[in-house]
Amino acid sequence: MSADQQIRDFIVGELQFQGKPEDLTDDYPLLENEVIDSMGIFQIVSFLESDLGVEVDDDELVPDNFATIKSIVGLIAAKK
Amino acid sequence: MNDLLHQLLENSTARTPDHAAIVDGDRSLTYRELDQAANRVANTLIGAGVNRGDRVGVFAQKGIETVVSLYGAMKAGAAYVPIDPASPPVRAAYIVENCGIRHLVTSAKLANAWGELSAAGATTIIAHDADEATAAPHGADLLDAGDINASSDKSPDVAVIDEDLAVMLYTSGSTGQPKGVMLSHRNVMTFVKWAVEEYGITADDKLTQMAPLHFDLSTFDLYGAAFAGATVHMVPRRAIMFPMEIRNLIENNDITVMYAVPSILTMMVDHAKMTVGDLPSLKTILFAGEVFPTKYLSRLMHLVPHVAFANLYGPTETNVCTAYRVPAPPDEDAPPASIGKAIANVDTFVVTDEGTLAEPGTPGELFVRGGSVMKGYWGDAERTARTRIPNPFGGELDDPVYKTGDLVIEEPDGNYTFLGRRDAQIKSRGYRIELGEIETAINAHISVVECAVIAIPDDKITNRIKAVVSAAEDLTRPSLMQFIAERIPKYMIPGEFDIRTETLPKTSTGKIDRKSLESSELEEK
Repeated sequence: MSADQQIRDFIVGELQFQGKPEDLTDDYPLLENEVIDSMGIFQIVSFLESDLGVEVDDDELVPDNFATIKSIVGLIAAKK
Repeated sequence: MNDLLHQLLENSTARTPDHAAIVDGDRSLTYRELDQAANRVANTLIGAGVNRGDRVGVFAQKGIETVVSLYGAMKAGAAYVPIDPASPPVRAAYIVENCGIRHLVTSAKLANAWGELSAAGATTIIAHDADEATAAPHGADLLDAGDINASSDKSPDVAVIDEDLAVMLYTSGSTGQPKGVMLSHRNVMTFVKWAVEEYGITADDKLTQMAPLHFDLSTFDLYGAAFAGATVHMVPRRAIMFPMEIRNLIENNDITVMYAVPSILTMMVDHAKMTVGDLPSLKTILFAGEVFPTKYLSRLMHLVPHVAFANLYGPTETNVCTAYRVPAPPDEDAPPASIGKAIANVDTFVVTDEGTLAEPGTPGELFVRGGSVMKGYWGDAERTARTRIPNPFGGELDDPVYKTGDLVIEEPDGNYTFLGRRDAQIKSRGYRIELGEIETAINAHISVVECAVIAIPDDKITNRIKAVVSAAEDLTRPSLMQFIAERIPKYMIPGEFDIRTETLPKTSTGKIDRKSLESSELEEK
């Protein structure tokens, strides 16, 4: 499964995405719409670490890296 | 006069009209600008039929316009009711209906929820960011930026006294619906006056505004700053979750005073890459809302030795009622910081199970009397009467006291130590949560037979929440989570689910055996 699909599944399954699954595009604003909130951010970081093998540094824990699925995928790509 | 919250804004405007009152990212308003903007909203509301004593809903992401709206509502003689923009529409609609909100100050970004809220009774929608192209929900009037700007910027001077309601804060309710805590101007002012003096807040200070507006912590930043003529810096909700963002905001704006829940501060210790002496502008860190894990409090105090720390305690019903200055970094394995002693103009005492005054050293329930004790729960005299009672030791004085439900013990130095709750209310990440409200939401699912929601102690976030559910075979975790997410706020959704087909263990009286569920949880750890 591609990284973006794994992230999408995680957001739907674990972060209680409220909209229709097809609305969750690569550019859907995750922070703006509070899909990722203060609890979700650490859930997603530990998911990236455990399931995708990506260690997120404290410096990378910034809104720009988590704004959309595309930006999370970009963060992963930059680290590999 | 300093009797009303919006007078604080007016007084500071008269003293220092050109001083920065509020900053939000690249935008800021001076005191004069903030006051005039609030007057426009007040006059807009009055023109739309708001009367003294009404409740005005404020349903928007926090920001400059939201703060303008709070003041606008109070200047119109109303109480403002902050409604969490992230809460499920059903819950927001419940609040609108429960306290009879007819006027809602909101944002066009939340327009998809307007229909439901207007059906619940909010028939006048006011949005700073709406224009002629914005559609009003069916059956409602929409007032947009043009209407607000066309209103007078002069104070409407509505007669209000300090016993009138200023704000209603909805908190988690054990029976499944949130309850509205009624706070008068006097209630909030009692805390604000004390806090400004106690922590020496002056016009030169820069305060963070971190807490959501429906959380009582927000009253310190907003009105403490207004009292002192200081500057409040709005911390956007999306920044709260990123420790480096919070750190940058403090450093870039020379913030001097920060008031936050411990879980945010804990996160900063772990993830903000701090070294000793960082955040040099900071003078004071106040924390409240939950127990600060001592290990993290100690580490943070070592990282910022130039900062004074204080623990503020109090349920929403009394705002802050006791406080404790942490004198020096505690040992990492020391017990949690004391909750201190009563603040000015507030009286506290400890009552035993037998109803007698507890001596120091004897545990009991903390009772609070004085200026900060709420007026009651909106529309629920019965519930109010259970916790806001006549002072049993008052003699001829007819003064109400609030039974906090918190068990404390008075130490030899006169400070209180918090021992725990008498009921199923818990804290998680600073949020106050009634486990019963979560259980009600889960039990509403057709496949659920019975459930128990338990709190598992956690050293960073106070408690993790776990739901143990007995259900028909077809119930899956995602479908149950989706179901309850439509009923309760995200922060109440359990992080763990144990869904089983067999029934839950029972006590000899036939109740769900919560203790055995909790203890099996601790054994697994």
